[in-house]
Amino acid sequence: MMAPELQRLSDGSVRLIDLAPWFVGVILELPNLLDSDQPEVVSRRLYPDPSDDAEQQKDWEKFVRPELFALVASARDIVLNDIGTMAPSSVEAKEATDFSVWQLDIPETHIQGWISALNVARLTLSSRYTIEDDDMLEPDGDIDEGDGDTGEPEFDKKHFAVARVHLLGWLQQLLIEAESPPPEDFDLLRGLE
Amino acid sequence: MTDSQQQTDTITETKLAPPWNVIVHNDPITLMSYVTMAIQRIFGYDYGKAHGMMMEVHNAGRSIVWTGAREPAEVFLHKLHAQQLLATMECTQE
Repeated sequence: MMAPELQRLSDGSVRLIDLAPWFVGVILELPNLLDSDQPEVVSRRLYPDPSDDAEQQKDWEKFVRPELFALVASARDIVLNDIGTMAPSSVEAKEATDFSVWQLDIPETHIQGWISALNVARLTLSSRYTIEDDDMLEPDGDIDEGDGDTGEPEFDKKHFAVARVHLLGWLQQLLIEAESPPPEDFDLLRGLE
Repeated sequence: MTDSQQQTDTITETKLAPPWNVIVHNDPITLMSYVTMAIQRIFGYDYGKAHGMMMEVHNAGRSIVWTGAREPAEVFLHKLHAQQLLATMECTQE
């Protein structure tokens, strides 16, 4: 299976190539995850209280939250705009089929918006499906192994959400590395000692 | 001064406002690289310092990323929330 790849173009934009249809499906779902109409549990995570001080919480609610909502809406607009230009990668595949691979171009000025949008989407999924630390490590063995005919596991909604959180994280990591790479002489393992 | 009159002395004492800590808390979903990038951009720290703070968040559950006057602390907190980081501020003196 071809793995998606990120290319940095000369104008500073990035191009994601070899996106499989199922990955395209996950990307197309992003605007829904960035919608302002989210359950309370999601809002609490995306817009947490600044402190225990009731007065400050009140001011925050009045003056800061509207701006935070606007920022997420702006990231959603960026994603909506760019996924509208997603297209099959090869000339032969212009008439897209289920088996075509796709590409996504993200202008340089949109990269930070995408990084932020992917973060919001991952937090939305994790809040909505109560995904914790342990859920992110390995499947816990509770996955339905499916029927004997196909042998394919039938993921429940939470496992599917975990998979999407990982996928979107992988994409987010690619964009972060393109936008803000660690200095060449920096030893990433230093902090892990 | 008559017996019914009272003299009032006013003593003025000047105290510096206590500093506030801006704290980033751990969140198992947010990427470590994203936390580093956000701290670096918001506070202007170099990569090593931001990475060290991120590791403290990861290992200890929280890190004080800035200390100072209340107003700028609120501005930094606003910026951290705009990046969806779990962050709070607290006064260093109760």
